[in-house]
This record gives sequence, C-alpha cells and structure tokens, in this order.
Amino acid sequence: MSSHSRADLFGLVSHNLPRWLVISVVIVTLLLLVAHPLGWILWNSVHDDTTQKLSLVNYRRIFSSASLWVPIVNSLIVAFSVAFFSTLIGVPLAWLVSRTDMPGRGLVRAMTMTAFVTPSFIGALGWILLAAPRAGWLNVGWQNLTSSDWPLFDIYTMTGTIFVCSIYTVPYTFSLVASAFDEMAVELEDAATTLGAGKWRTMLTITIPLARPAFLVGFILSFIQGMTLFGVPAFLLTPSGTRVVTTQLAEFYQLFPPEIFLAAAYCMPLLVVTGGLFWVRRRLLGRRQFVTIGGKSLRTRRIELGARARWVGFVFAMIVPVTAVFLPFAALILVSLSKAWGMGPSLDNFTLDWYRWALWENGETQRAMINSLVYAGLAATLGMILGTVVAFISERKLFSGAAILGALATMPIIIPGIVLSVGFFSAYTRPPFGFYGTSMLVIIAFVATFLPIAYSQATTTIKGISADLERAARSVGAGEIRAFLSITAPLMRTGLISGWLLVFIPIMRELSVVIFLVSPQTNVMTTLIYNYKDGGNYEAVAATSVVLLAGTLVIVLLARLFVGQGSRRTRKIQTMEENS
Amino acid sequence: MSGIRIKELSKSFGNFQALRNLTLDLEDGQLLALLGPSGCGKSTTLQMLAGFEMPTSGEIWTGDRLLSSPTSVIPPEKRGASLVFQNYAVWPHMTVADNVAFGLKVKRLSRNDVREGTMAALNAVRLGPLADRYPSEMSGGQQQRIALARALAVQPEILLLDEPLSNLDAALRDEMRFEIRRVHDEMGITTVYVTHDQSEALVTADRIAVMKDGELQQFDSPTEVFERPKNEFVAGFIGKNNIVPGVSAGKSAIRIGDRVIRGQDTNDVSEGGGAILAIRPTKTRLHDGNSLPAGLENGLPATVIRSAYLGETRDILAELTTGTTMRVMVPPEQQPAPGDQVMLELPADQCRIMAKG
Repeated sequence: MSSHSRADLFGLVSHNLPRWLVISVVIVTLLLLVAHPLGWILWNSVHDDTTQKLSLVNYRRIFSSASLWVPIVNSLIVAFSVAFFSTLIGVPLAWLVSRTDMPGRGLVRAMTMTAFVTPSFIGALGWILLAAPRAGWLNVGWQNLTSSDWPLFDIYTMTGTIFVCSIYTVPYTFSLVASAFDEMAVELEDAATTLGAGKWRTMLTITIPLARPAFLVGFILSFIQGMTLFGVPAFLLTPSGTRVVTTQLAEFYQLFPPEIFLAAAYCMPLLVVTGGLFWVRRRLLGRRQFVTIGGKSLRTRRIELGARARWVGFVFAMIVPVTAVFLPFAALILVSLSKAWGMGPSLDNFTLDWYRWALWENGETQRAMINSLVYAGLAATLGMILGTVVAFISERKLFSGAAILGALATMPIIIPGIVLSVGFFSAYTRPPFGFYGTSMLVIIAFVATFLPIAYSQATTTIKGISADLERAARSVGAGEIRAFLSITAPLMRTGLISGWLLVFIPIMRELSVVIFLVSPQTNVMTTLIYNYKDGGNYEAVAATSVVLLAGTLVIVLLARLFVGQGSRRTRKIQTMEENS
Repeated sequence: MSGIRIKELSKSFGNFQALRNLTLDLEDGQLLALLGPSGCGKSTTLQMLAGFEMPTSGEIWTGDRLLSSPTSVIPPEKRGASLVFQNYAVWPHMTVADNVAFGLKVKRLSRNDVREGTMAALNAVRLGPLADRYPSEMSGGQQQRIALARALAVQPEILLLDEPLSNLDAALRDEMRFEIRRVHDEMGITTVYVTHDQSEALVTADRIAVMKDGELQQFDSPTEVFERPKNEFVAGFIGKNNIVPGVSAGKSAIRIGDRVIRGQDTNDVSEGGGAILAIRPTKTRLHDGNSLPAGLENGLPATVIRSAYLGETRDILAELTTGTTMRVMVPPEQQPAPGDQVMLELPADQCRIMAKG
C-alpha cells in the first residue's frame, strides 16, 4: 500500500464505492457503540466533577477512603471463592456426566443448562424465600423441628452470596470442561490403552491433562463472573450494609447528585481485572476460542464406576440441580401461588391472584414483558447484522487493518455490564444525544453488550463458507454486495439463527447493563423485578419472576427444536464443502 | 477481439515475490495452459487475471482494454472473465439450473433469455436433464461441469480455469480434459487453464507457459515444449527425460565421461561449460555387448542395474561409467539382466543439449 500515491488510493476507493460506504458505516457504528462509552468513562475518571478540569481527584478519593476500599476487597473475596467452588464442583461434574456411566446424566446436563439460563438474581430471590434468617422456609422448618431459636442459614451474608453466585456459575465451568471431554479424540485414549495403560491410568495421564486448559479457562471465567455480578450481591449483601464494587457503583448513582465522575474512576479496578484475566485466557488458549482437542471420531469410552460409586456420583451431581433449580424454583412457584409467604405452603394459602395481577391487571408488568421481548428481539437482530458484517469484513480481510474492527467488536466482552451501563449513561444522556429514558438507549446498550457473542457466532459461520463461493458469483458478474446477499447470507442462515438466539436469551435475563438506563416507561422484566423487590412484596415478585423464567425456558426449548433441525441442514452443506 | 496481453507482470506478497516479469501474448480464441509445480506463480497469475489480486507492477490487457495495473484494477464482475475453481464452488443452496442462471439474472436478462441461456450452457456440458437437482446429490465430475456451465452461461470473453480437474479421480480427469477441449473448440472462448499436470496441458492447450519460482521458463506450443525443451527444468518437468550431465564439446556436442555425444543445441553453451543432455527413455536404444553395431553412433557404455517387465515394454535402469543412471524403454524381447554390460545408443536427432540448470 505504501507505494501508492494518494490519487491512486482514491482511484481504488472509487472503484469499490459500496464496499467503502459499508465499511465506513460499520466503523462509525463500532466507535459509537464501544469506543464512545468507554471514552467517557476514561474522561470522567480523570476530571473533577465540579471544575471539569483534568485531575486525579477521583482516584485520590478512592485510595484515601477505607469505605471505598472495602468493597473492592469484598469483590475479590467473592470472585476468588466463586471461582474456587465452581471449579471444585464443575470439573468433577463435567467428568461424571461426560466420561462415566453415572445414572441420570441427561437429567443433570439438562438441569445444569437450566441453571445456566436462570438469571442469578432470580435464583437469589428464591434463596431469600428459602433461607432468609426469620421467614425463610428452610429456617422455619428447622426451628419447628428442633425448637431452636437460631436460624440454620442466613442468606444475607458473604457466605450466602458466594453460595448463590457459585451454584449459578458452575454451569460455565461445567460446559467448558464437558465440551473439552466430549470433543476429545477417543484415539488419543485408545493409543494409551493399546500400550497397556488401564482405563483409570489413561484417564489420569491422558484425558485429564488434555482437558487442563479448560479447567483454567473455567476458573478465569468464574472469577470474572463473581467479580461482575450485580443482582445477587444487591439482593443478598445490601440488606446487611456490605458492599461490593458493583453495588457500590449503583450506590454512586443513587446519591443526589449522582457521583458520576467518581463512579467512572471506580470502574477502573473492575476493568483492569477483567481485561487482565481475558488477556491471560487468550494466552492460555492461543487464538483458539474453544478448548477442543481434535480427532476424527466423537465416540467416548465411559468409565464404569461400580454400583456404589455410581450413586455417590449421582448424589454429588445433583448438588447443582437441587440448589440452583429445584429448591429455588419450587420456592418461587409456591410463594407466587400463596396469599402470603410467611403463612407457608398450604391449601388455605393458595391463590392465583398474583398471576392475575402480573399478567392482566398490572400495566407495569405487561409493559415490561412487551419491552423485554421487543428490545431483545430488536437488539439481537441489530447485533447479529452488525456482528455479521464485521465478521465478514475481518474474515475476508476487505482492507488491511480489518482485524481492528473484529477487536473492537470483541471488546465489550471484557467490560462488566455495570461498567458499560456507567459508560452508556455518560455517553448518551447528554447532548447531542439526550437519549435518557428512551427505548433506543436500552436497545443500543444491549447491542453493545452482546456484540461479542454475535460477532463470534458470525465468524464461526463465515469460516465454514469458502470465499470461492463468493468469488464465483463475482466472476459471473455480481458485485460485492450482490454476491454477499445472494450467496453468503443465505448460506449463513442457520448459523445466524442460532447466533440470534444466543444473543436473544442472555438479553432476556440481563440486569446490570441497563440498570442505570431504564425509566418507568422502558423497564424490562429484569429491572422491574429488581425494583419490585425493594418494595418487599415477595409474592408479586415471585409471580413476575416465574413468568420471566417460564417465558425464557419456553423460548430456549423452542430454540432447541428449531436450531436442532437447522443444524442438521448446515452439517449437510458443510460436509459437501469438505468433500468438494 | 479479446486476446490477452500480459506485460511485465509482477506480484509480491510482503518479501515474497510470487511472480517476476511475466510477459505473454495470447491470441483470441486460444487456450493457454499455465503449467508448473506448486508455488510457481501460476495461480497468482490467474487471480490477477480474474481481478482478485492487484499486480505489484506490470499490466494486463484484453484487446485495447487495460484490465489490471498497480494503480487500477477493474473489479472481477466487470471484466467479462469467468472463473472455474478447483473446488467447484457450486452454490449448495441453489439447484443446478439456479447456479447456472445466476450470472444471467445478474445481467437482468428477460426470463426467457435466462431460461434459454441456462439450458444452452447445461446442454453444452451435457447436464440438461439434471437441471432441477441440487449439487449435493451429484458427483464431483458433475459438480465441476455445473461450475463450467455457470462460467460459460454468461458468454465471457475470457474463461479462467484454476486446476479444474485436480479434485477428480483419474478416470474422470481423463474424460473431463477432452470435454474441456471439446467445449473450447465449440465456443472458441479465449481460455487460461492453470494446472500442475503436464498431460492435461498437452491435451487441452494451444499454448503452454511453463513456470517455475515465479518465472516463465518456456512459452510455446505443446509439441515444441515437449520435443524441444528450452532448459533443464522444462526437460525434467514435461514427460520423462533422462538428464545426463556433461561438458560442452563445441557446437551441438557434449562430452560425457570419455565420450562425445552429438545432438541438437537448444541454447548456446560455450565450449567447456557445464551442459546437460536430455533424451527420453522411449527414444534411447539398448544394444548388447561393448560396442555399437556398425554404422551407428552416439553410444555410451553402461551396466544394467534393474530390469522391470511392464508387459508392453521393459523398463531398464542402467548406470553409465560416470555414475549417472539412465532409464531405457526396450521392447520386451530384449532381456538384459542386472550386471550385463550394454551399449546405450542415443540417436542424435533425439538428443537435446543445453546449459546446465
């Protein structure tokens, strides 16, 4: 390129005008979505709130105030414990499900995935109903049994928070490690077996070491999860006055006037930790996104555990289904059907009033349901379109430096939701935008947050489509855009649909990224539940939560049916490509 | 008219020079084969002809139209050059007919014209009856014919074929190369055919450009390339050749050990300079004993090392006194055994003498 003069470059651009138009629009969009909010956080963090002058006063306040230090330490404690426990549970769980003849493997897998799609703050709600010190049913039952005055559990503690965060983080570790076990080539193990190694020896010397990167990556992801969760600590720690970084950030916004500049500086520790950990993860995985150890066949040899060990394994494997799904779901459903939580589950206490209220009588819940569906639908669509175009530009290297676009689109993955929320608030509620309270603000925040998922899905899909298919179209006279729309886009269809669902589902359960951005008119289900919980009407909150959970699960099930069929078709096309 | 003129075309990728100063002239309606081992620059040349790569220097012209130069490249869709890919690149989500019709629809032809053009192209490659099938239901050879029909349907000025047969099995490959030549003869489209297979090039091409390491080695008709290779590389690459090193012994002569062999010079080698002699195993003759029968010349004494019976011929490997081995195809009646002393006769009109590679 360097040898071309400016006029030559102009000649090149004018030959490909549509291409450069699209590229320019994409660059501007990415800058607005990602760089702009982040830029404001940086700018705000180094400026004085009152004088608007460059200053480190915000950082000085954080470093000099013990009350601002404590939440950071608390966050680190929670994050480390969550990573520790979810690895401790997730790794053996993955091994049991993927590599042994433990009974109930399908059930455990399904329930762990159910825990995965459950918003963890709703899980926290369920556990409040079960283990709040006075009214929690487990405590009431315990006190009735033992006539003791002391509650068995207190969920409003660090321990309670770590417990709830961990059980909802296990699915991350589990799915990473399980897919490493699932996709490991059976030949690698057979090679050891033919050399005389027994099954257990093979497991210890071949299988587990090969899956080790997945353990580490699982640990890192759980750490980030523990560090960035907002809903669970807000529900479980705020009542006792204990704060973590995310809840402290929320507090800055609830002050009057809100401490936006201080909040920006306070985001930095979170950003540094998540950014650093993602960097480590990248080093561990190299450029691979997933931990796979390739091989031809996907058969697996299962270890026979023996009659007793099978059931010991089963009991262990049921920890997550019971604590993350059965118990909290049961509590939420029973409370939502009760006149009053405190009266306990009984026939006298039964009522459908809360559902009638949530679904028919209350305008707020109706509006929030519609908002959730519409915003998630629009944001998933816009996100997939943007992600696809970026993936296409950077995969096909449409200009030198195209990879930078991919990096920009991936960047939100390292930004905790609550930090993005801070950034979007600063960037888009002031002139010239003034989007505060608009649906637009909520939607673009969702798009930015989940752009990395959309982008990586689209990249995977495009990698499966040979560039020759587009070149063939161009050589018979189709322009670049026509070739993309007639050839590439239709071939990407199934991949894009499953990508769309992978964006849609997490948007439905997302709380932290929009917590500062919604107004009463733009509330979504998650923010509404969060706000109602402050009102203390647990029966209504439970009913609303059950509606959200049921809705999400139905969508996931439909998606599985739909994408399951689609992926068969994709496979057919892909095998064709390989053969040709 | 749409011949192709390539002028001093070069292409570098970073520090790697893929193509150096290629100059070629192809007349309208001719079929050119770009032939060479992988990495020789033939595919890079084709990608530049198709407009997917930009030259580092040099120009590509068709008639009086400048297609490519370092400052301007007419985009692929506006060149009138259809490309057929090694991996077929047929679109799996379209029927055979839709694949072929695509280029005609892009041209906004009427429905009737699209239908007629499609059927004509499909009939040209004998796929008419399969128009409504999906490509995934068809064999590799049929898929490659879809790709060919798709490229032909738009009536391109230039047809570009990028190793179109190398994914097919041997029997199909034999059949398809005649098919490509037949279609070319019927339509008379100027064609550039990239291949690493010399027999494909010999069968299909009017002109062959042999390439190596980004440089043109020889640009000639198939007969010339086969019978009068210009240098050691071409002699070794096209067909089987014995390459025997020696020293130039004046015009049209080479000294091998203590013998002087007469032949035909293909380039001038100064006396005493390193030279090689190239002769095909089928043209070499073998005589028993230590001397040639009376009246024959150009003999080299040798020892038989290996004798293999191939049915129609016998494949003999013999070692010269200089240590060089030569292969000789003899009639099966001749039965020299390993260890036998023989005389190899190299008929002067079959010997090519050229500078050492």
